Amino acid sequence: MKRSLKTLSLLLLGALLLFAMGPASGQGVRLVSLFVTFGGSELNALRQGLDAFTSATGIEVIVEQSREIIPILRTRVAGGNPPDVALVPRPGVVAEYARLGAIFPLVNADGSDGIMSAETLHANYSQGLIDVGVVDGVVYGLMAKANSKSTVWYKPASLAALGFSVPSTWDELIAITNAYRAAGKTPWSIGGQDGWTLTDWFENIYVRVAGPENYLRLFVTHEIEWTDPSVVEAMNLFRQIIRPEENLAGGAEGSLSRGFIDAANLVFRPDAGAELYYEGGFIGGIVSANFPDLRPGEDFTAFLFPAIRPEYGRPVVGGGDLLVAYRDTPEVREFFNFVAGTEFATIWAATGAIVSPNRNVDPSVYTVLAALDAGQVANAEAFVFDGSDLAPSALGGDAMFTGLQDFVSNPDQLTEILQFLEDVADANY
Amino acid sequence: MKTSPFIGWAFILPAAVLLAVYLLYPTVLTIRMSLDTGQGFRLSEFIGLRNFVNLFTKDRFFFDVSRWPPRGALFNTALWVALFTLGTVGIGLLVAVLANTVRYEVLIKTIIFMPMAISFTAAGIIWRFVYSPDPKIGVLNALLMAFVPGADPVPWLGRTSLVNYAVIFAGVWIWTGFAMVVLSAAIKGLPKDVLEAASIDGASGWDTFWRVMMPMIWPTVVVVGTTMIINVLKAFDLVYVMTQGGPRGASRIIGYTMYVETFTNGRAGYGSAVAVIMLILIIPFLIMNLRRFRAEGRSL
Repeated sequence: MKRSLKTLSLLLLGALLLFAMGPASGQGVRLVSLFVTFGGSELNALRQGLDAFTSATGIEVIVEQSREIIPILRTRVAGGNPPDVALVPRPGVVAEYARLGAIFPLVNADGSDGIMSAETLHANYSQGLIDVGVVDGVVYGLMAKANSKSTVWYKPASLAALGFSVPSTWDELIAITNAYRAAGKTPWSIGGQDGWTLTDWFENIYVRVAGPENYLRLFVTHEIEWTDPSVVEAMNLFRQIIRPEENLAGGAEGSLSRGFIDAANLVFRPDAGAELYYEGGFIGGIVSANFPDLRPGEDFTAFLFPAIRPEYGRPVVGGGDLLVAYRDTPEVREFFNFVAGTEFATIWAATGAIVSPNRNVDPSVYTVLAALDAGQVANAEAFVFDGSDLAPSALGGDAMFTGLQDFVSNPDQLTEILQFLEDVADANY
Repeated sequence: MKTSPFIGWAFILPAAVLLAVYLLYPTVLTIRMSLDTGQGFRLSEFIGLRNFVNLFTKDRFFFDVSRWPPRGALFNTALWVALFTLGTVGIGLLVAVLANTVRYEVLIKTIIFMPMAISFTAAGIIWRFVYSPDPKIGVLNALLMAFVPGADPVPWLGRTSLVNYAVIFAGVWIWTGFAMVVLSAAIKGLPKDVLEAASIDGASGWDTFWRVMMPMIWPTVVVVGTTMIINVLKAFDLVYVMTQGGPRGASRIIGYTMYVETFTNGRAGYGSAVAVIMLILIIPFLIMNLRRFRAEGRSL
């Protein structure tokens, strides 16, 4: 008994020593740890690109994944144990870390190389997409994937039967809405249980009412207040979609108890409960997976969110993930330069899982649906990042979600809702 | 033989050190953090009581008295305290007393205790299915549609007026088994002669329960009740899994607010202020439980 105890403690001691020596004994293996938010097939698609990196450089990439990436990164940064690099879905969070000094500059303010080569960046990215990752003049985030959130999904057969073609102005969109209702059909499906579907609606309307510059003044700098007439105007336009309640499948209450996937299914399933669905480009993949019989581009497809004011046209509101560096090692530097290059972008884009913001990716690698999304990103008159992701998290998450959910259930309270958003904004900028 | 007083101190030293490191230090740090912005989980800017003032004047998810009934996480927690405690202790007691007299006691108690064996996350997911507004998924709506012809499915978790009751019910489902087992043990431990004396003296079942049994198991009821209250005040998991505090923030409770503000919104100071309020609310119940333990210690 005593003997075995002794052996056990020796073993434990040995294990501890080994553990303590871990990194040193692992010399020769070059590693980069990467934290991402998406899993499943999306992650498998990313791995194809990462494998190309490993075979080109000999550096292994260790991927960690969690949908709760923001809370986990916060605790790990605070605990001094961040991953080497992470794909962060919110530019607002990137700015937060940049100002805390937790992440390294990719390209310095004077245009010189930081973590990565400024030349590679400018060769492959347009200035509009680089700007998304800029904080106080320094590039801190590299937009590694992008997607359009200005896609309105519809069924061409249903729209043709109604006697309409694809709308290019807001008035036409409302005319289609009314015509569907008059024909005894429900025009819209909304997945408002996921608050961000509503913020996406608002952002597309707002950027078309106030223009991209004011859009950034509202979300990024808070120079425009939430009680501003331009916000009121945008909200009142949104009201034309959500009222009368017969416009919405399940009315206001049904819209708020349905997630974004159920809302898409409702429109494209055989006994459809609605005719139109607005959400980002990624909906195409979800619909094809759930309804394999539908032909993408023919049975279902999307049009670009219509224009409201002619002078602002049809800017693309988009989302995406920004690659940031929590550590500055030679491996991390190689990783950034590879990810920003065309080989990686092309491999990843060819999987059909993402749209690459890299302008040198050959459009022919995309599937029908991804080409639609990529076309919107590449040909955008202007590209603005999803505003709720630009704003500080307390405002862009929580507050906007619940404020807009309140608006869907009770649009007469607009004044109180905007005052509430302004109060939250006031406390967070 | 007279021993040195230091011996006593030496004996409690290890425990004292552990308590200081793992309880006292974090508590003091949390209190200090609640007076700070807590940017990046560090003490960065002392702002006095501003977090607390904002919580009670500007945060309508936490404390909103502008409408009747008042809303916000604090009031939702109060609702939880009332309904969850009454539900678990009440139903637990009922089953413990009734099952005591029937043949299938073990079977009944096993079924009611079973949910305790499931993790709360799993239980939350199960109940999310049960409450689904789609009758093809949600058994509750399927039953409703089957028995009430022409009824519309009810979005149990999607309606602000229902969501709290729906989540609390799931909580009661999980915890009733615990209350039942403890109360049942207390009942089994009652001296038989007293109960027999009551029935010989002609007391009805009702009177026996209220005048004989209840006074004797009352201390246990109080302990189970306070344990449940402490449980509720720090509850988090069910709300996180089932509703994420929604719809429209209607099902937030203080534990959930603490998490969202600290980790999702990155406002560690604000989240700590919520934690301090939680601590203040729990202290009276801790004292009650401690007193009860001490009283029992003396009577031994």
